[in-house]
Order: sequence, then structure tokens, then C-alpha cells
Amino acid sequence: MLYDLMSYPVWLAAALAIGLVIGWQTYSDAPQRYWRDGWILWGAVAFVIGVIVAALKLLPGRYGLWLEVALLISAFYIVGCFVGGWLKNAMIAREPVGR
Amino acid sequence: MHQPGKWWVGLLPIAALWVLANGVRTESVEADLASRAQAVLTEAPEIASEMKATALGRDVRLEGLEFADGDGTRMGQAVDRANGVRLVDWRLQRVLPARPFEFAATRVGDELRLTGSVPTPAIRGKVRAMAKDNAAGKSVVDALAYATGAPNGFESIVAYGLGEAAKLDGGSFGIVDTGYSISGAAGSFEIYDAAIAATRSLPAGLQLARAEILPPEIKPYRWDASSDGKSVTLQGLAPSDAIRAEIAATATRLFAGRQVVNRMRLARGGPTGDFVRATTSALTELAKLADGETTMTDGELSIRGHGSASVTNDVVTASVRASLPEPFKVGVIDVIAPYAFKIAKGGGRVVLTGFAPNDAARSDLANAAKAAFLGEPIENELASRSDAPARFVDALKALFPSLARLASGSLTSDDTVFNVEGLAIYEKAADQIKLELGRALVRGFKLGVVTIGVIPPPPVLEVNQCQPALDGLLAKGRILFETGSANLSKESLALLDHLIEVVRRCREASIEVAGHTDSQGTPENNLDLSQRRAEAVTSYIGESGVDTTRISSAGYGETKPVASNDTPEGRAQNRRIEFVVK
Repeated sequence: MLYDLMSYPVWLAAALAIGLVIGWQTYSDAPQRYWRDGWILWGAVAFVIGVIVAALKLLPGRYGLWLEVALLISAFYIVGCFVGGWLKNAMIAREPVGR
Repeated sequence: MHQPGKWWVGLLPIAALWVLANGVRTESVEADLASRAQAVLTEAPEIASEMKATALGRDVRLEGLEFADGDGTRMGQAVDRANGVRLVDWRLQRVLPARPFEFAATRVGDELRLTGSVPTPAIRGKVRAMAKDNAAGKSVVDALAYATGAPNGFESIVAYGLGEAAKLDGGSFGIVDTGYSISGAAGSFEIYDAAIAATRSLPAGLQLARAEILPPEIKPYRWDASSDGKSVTLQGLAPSDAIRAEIAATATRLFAGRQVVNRMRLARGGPTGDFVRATTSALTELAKLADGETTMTDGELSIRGHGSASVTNDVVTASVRASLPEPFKVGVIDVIAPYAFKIAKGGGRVVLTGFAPNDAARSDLANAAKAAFLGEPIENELASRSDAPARFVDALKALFPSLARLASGSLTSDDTVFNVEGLAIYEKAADQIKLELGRALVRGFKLGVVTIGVIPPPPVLEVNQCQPALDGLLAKGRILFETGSANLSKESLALLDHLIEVVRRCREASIEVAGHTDSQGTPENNLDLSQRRAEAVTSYIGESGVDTTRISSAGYGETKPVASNDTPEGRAQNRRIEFVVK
């Protein structure tokens, strides 16, 4: 996995950037929906399964590599989303209240 | 508040990013990992030089050859430890033993081609290096395959074979297990001898399977044989071992009892045609010579030497022309044959054999013999040969009167040396004949062995047989004297000796030696002359040892002619000596 990180830095950075944008854009004062609702649950389950498959090296050859890349890109995207939302919250909280 | 439920909107670009990343980076990642795996293999060339790594994703596959059990496992585990490699799969082919184990280094055109099997990459590398060292400018083509089962000392065997083959033109060598083969053409006798010797002392463990080493090509191609009468020496070149042996066997057969020294060497470049038949022809002629040599240079045969009476230059030339096969050519034939001649008296005839310079000389000698040998039948078997010693005929004719005195015997000539053997009629005649032969010799000729004995005492003749025997002899010739004297001519001594033989046999007979003359001169002188001549004959008979008490002499002068005195022929008949038994 470390080799993958070293081999795909630009691509992972791009995933992180997309995550930042999406996290910023979707951050709002609206009440947060319960996290078990919607796609996030199934996405988390699929990610965990993917990790297990990758760890057990069940997919051969290129499929194995592509799975690892998919897991890394997904992870960087999610991290980007959280960081994007957090940045927006921080920056909006510091703005002075308009007159 | 974070809104994870809305983050799905980023999945589409993320998916696109993933597809794009895979499309752009997969092959380069695979190439990088294959390179890393190959680097691991390279660090162990002794076992992994024939292994190759490929990558699919982050999985590496090892393919190639495994020279020993466990090599694949070891290398697989080593590659598995390389950074980035996820899985390693090795599918190596185990190198199998070759039965039989073959290896060959063959020179073809400008290439030195290595074929067959080699046990390991390391040895292969050494073999290639050795081949390059021995290639002499030719390019080395490695068509070897790996196999185990090489004979012990494979490297040293290859080094030895490459070294030996490099000495030969087109030199090649090979092994089948421990059977060693070598072929090629030697550039010189030294190289050929060394190469042949090398095949007889191969390195330990090798056996010679085949050696096809061609001898050097030599121009001009010369073959010789020489004979000194005691031994024959074969020298020069022969095209093959078999032909050399055949020539030596032929020499042994033709020169039976004589030593055969075989110094022939093998070489290529000989003339086309049947070399064995040509040399057999040459040796056959050489065997006829007393001594000599024969040389065949590029198919042209020459013979020189000394022949014999029957082996002359012409005889040898004709014989070699008849027997020499095409396309061989007859060169110089220079056979020196002794100028032989023989005259043999015996059995009531005289036989002439050998040579005379020409037909006229043949007739001359036959006529001289006829006159000297009291008209005995002459068998003239002389052949013409022009290279007679000077005055050969004169020299022979001068000896005939003395030879004619022999009861039997012969004269043989070997160029200018005359050998005489025979039996005289009585002891004193033997001594006289020896002396006369010496005196009669023509300048330039000499006597060799002269052996003259005496015939045993002849049987006694009855008295009544004596007169016919004496008359018979006198009918063949006449007793001659020097003109007007009582000195016996040399030509008459043969007749006289034969008359003496009859007189000795006629022990009981009283014999009168009667002298007669023609009518020339005065009767008194003629009477005296006839008396003296009759006495001279009687005296000659007495000197031979015959008891002369029963022999008388009488001179009748011209009183008892037997023919007319008017003609020369008649007068010649009247001048005579008669033997009259009383």
C-alpha cells in the first residue's frame, strides 16, 4: 500500500481536492441526516469489503492493483470531504456578523 | 454541519479519476515492478540468468529455466521481498539431462557455430569466450541449449577440442558423451603430424570416435622410389593412408627379399587418375633395374637407372607406356643397359645372343664366327642396338680364332669387359688360348674372368674311323701358313687343335702329315716348303703332348695336285696339308 501511495501521489491529491470541494459545498447549517441513511452506509460496507479483499490479496493481477487504487482514491475523497466541511465551518464562524 | 448524505455527488468525478489513473499509470507501475524483480534476479546470475520477470498489476511472474531443484523457490522468495511486489508466481522449466550429451563446434563459412548442449549459464559463458579466442576472425554463433549430463571435465574438453580444431583449416570438433570427433584440413606436415598425434593421446576420459584430418595440400605433387639393388626406399607423397599402405605392399611384393623403407607422407593435391596403378607401373619397372629411381611429379613419371641385357631403355619405355594409366604421362626414361653379347660354342653349334650395333654388324659377326669355328652351324640371335662401345665388332672378331680352339665354351661381354669360360682340347692349348685372348684384345676392352679348363680324355677311335674323322675336319677348313713360310697362321690353330683331338683318339693309327704346294715357284723350293710345312704341323702336334713316334711328316711339293694349277682356286686347293692314316 505504501508503494501505491508513492506511485499515485498526483491522483490521490486530486481525489483529496475533489473531496475538499464537495465537502465545502455541501457543508451547511441544515440538520445532519442520520448517517445510516442513504448511500454512505452501503459505501462504507463496500469499502470495508474492498479492504478485506485487498488485504487478503484475493483479486489477481491488475484487478488487485485497481482495487487498491480505488480504495485509496475513495479514502482520500472522504477525507477531503471532511476537511472541506471543516474548513468552511471554521472560516464562516470567524466572519463578523453583518450589520 | 457535514452533509455526508450529499457527498455522493463527488463519486462520479472520483470514478472518472480512478479510471483515468488506471489507464495512465498501470503499465508504468508494471514496468517498474518488473524492473525491480529483474534487478533481484540479476543479483544471483549463477542461478537466475535464464529467468525472466514480468509483472501484471503488482503481481510478478518468473519464467525460464531452473538448473537445480529449489532455485525457483529461492528466487521467488527473494523477488517477493522487493518493494511493491504483491504476489510472485514462478513457473520455471527444470533443465533435463541430455542422453547422449552432445556438443559441437563447427566452422562453416565465416562462422564458428556452437551446437548441442551446455550444462549451465556460467559454463556457457566460458565456452563462448573460449570459442571467441579460437575463432580467428570468424563470428561465433551460439546455438547451444541447456542440458545436464555433461561428461566430467566438460570445460577442459571443450578447451582442448577448440584448441585442436583451431589448428586446422575448417577445423571442427564435437563430443557425444565421451566420444571425441575432430575434422579439418592441416596446412602443413607439422600441423598434420601434431593433429594425428593428438588424436592418439586424448585427455583422460575421452575416446576417439572419429578423426577426419586431411593432410596438407602440396604442389608440385611428387612421389619417388629408389632402389640400390638391396633395398627400395619409397618417398614423397601419397594421397591417403590406404593408398600409402597399398603402394608399400606392392613394393614388398615386387622387391621380394629386399628391404622396403616406407618414407611416404600423406598430402592432398595429387594428380587425378589411379595413383595406385601408376605407382605400381613405376615400381614394376624399377624392380627390373639393377638400381635406379623413379619419380612421379604432378602425374609425369620418369625412370632412371641401370638395366640389364634384356632390360633396356626401349624395353622399359614400351612397358611403362603400356601400363601407365590415363591421365598419367611418361616423362624421362633413362635406363642404361650394359651392352651385352654372348657367343657360346657347344653341342655342335655356335649361338650368338645379345646385341650388335646394326644388321650389317650382325651379319659380319655371324660370318666371322662361321669362318673361325670351322663352319659349325651358327645360330644368330643377335638384336640390333646402336649404342655399342667403339670397335665392339672388331674386338669380338679378334677373339673368335682363340675361342674357336675351345672344345666348348662361351664369351660374354658386359660393355667393354669380356668374360670367357670353356674347355680346351689339351693342357697347353688352355694356356695358349688365355695368352692369345690377352694379345688379341682391342684397345679399350679388357678381359674379366677367364676360366679355361681341359676336356677329359676322349674315347679311343678305331683305326678305320680315323681317316674319315681327319678328312671331315680338313673339309671344314684348311691349315694355313704365312705366305712363302712354314709359320702356321693363327686362324689355323683351331683346326689344328681339333685335328690333334682326333690324333689323340687314334692311338693305334700311324699317321703321315703330308705337305703339298701348287706349281708356283721351282719344284725344289716347293718340295722343301711342303716338307717344312708338314714338319711344322707335326711339331705343333708334338707340342700338344701327343706321342709323335707314330706320326711322320712328308713333303710332296707340287707332285700331287688335286686341282688345276692354272687357276687361283685350283692352286689354293693344291696348297694343302693332308693327314693320311697308314
